[in-house]
Amino acid sequence: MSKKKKSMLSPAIAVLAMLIIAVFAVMCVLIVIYIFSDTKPFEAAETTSTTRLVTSEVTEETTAVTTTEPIVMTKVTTTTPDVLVTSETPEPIVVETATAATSADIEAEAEPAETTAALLHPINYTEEFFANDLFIGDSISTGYYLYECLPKDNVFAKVGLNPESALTEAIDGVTAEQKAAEMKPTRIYIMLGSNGLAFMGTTYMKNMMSKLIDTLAAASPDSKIVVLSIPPVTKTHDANEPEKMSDIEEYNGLLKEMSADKGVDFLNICAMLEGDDGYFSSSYAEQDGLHFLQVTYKTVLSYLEARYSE
Amino acid sequence: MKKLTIIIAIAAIMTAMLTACGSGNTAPADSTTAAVKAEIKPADVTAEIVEKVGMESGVEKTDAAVCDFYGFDEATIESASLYICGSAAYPDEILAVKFKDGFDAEAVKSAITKRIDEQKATYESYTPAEFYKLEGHYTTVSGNYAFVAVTADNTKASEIIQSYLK
Repeated sequence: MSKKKKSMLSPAIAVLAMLIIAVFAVMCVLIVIYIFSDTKPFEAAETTSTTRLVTSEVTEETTAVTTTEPIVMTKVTTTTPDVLVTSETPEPIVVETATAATSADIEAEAEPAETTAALLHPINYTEEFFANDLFIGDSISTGYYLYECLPKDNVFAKVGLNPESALTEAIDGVTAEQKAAEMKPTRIYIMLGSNGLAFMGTTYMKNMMSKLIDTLAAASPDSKIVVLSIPPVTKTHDANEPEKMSDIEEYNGLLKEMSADKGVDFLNICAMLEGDDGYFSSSYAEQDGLHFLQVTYKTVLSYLEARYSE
Repeated sequence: MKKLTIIIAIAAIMTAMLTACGSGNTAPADSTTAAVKAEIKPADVTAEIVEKVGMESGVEKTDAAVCDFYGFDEATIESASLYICGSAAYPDEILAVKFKDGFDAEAVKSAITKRIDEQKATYESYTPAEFYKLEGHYTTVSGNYAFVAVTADNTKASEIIQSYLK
């Protein structure tokens, strides 16, 4: 009798064992499906909380700056083999500085975006350095905050602003004069004029800049005022649009003289951003040949920080 | 008899396990599916438009920046995604926002209209060749969501948005 019971139980145990194995197998499959179906949306949600660039710009250039004296940069050239270049830096650029009176060297290397850890010469500006600085400008200067290189509070800029309209136009209800008076910036950088090239004379724009400087100096007497040259345009832009390199150079020359007369700094950003052909380097120029890429802001900020760091 | 009791017990446990397994995996899968179907992730919409329509020098902004540009009350936003041209050379802009329940839809519509009008005023003379993007802009406020497309192909952008709303 007991033998018969055993023989009946054995198949039942075998079936149960198989059932257990099957259940665990099903559980494993379900767990795997659950994990994978749950992870993707989560990761996507995390991505949305970050700010990321989706421009056609595929490289990010880096800049190392060593400065001891005032600067007038004159030339941008593609690097030669003896400059710091690695196989990971596809479009290296060296900005050579001026002449006897200058000693600033800027080396910039192109790097794949988002790979700052691998950079030999990372873009070396800090937001903190500009915490109490004010940038006044046109659409080009709006990019400082649109690209989140600087907080919006540090920028007084608007599409279409020119040296004349900057005297009176308000942004968010505040004029440049009021902004300077309230903020009392350590330094005020002014880069205006690109918008006036098409319909204002260069001398008129220079005179308006002179007025603007006086206005800002009166509003915030302790601020250091820095005039930035307007940037270059690309060869294509020069050929097809109202903004011409000849006018840009003429206007920048007038700004340089006026700045010297007023005892304020003048920095030739234009020369820094030019390529071998004397036009806006494609490494820095937006597709329209006039505006900046994100890397251009970072390059300029790195230069300014190096220039004004003690 | 003792062994039979053990077997029955094991069988009962296994049956319970099977039932538990079934409900445990099905419920989240169903709820996830339902959630995906019922809920739109703003970042998914903008990313798809960026991918399929294109965006000039686009930068994705934070929720706080969205409020800054559009004047929305940040407390009313559940999540948002805004792509804007970082260089300001082009008027391209893609916005998707999910608002919290009880938000003021009319205020949102007004804020969007104000933003578009300001951009029109700015870019009409500044870059006439790009003005068509603003002229043919697409906006919609549907349920708890608001969308704006100022792109090179606003029709395609609107089709993408509508595909999420259906």
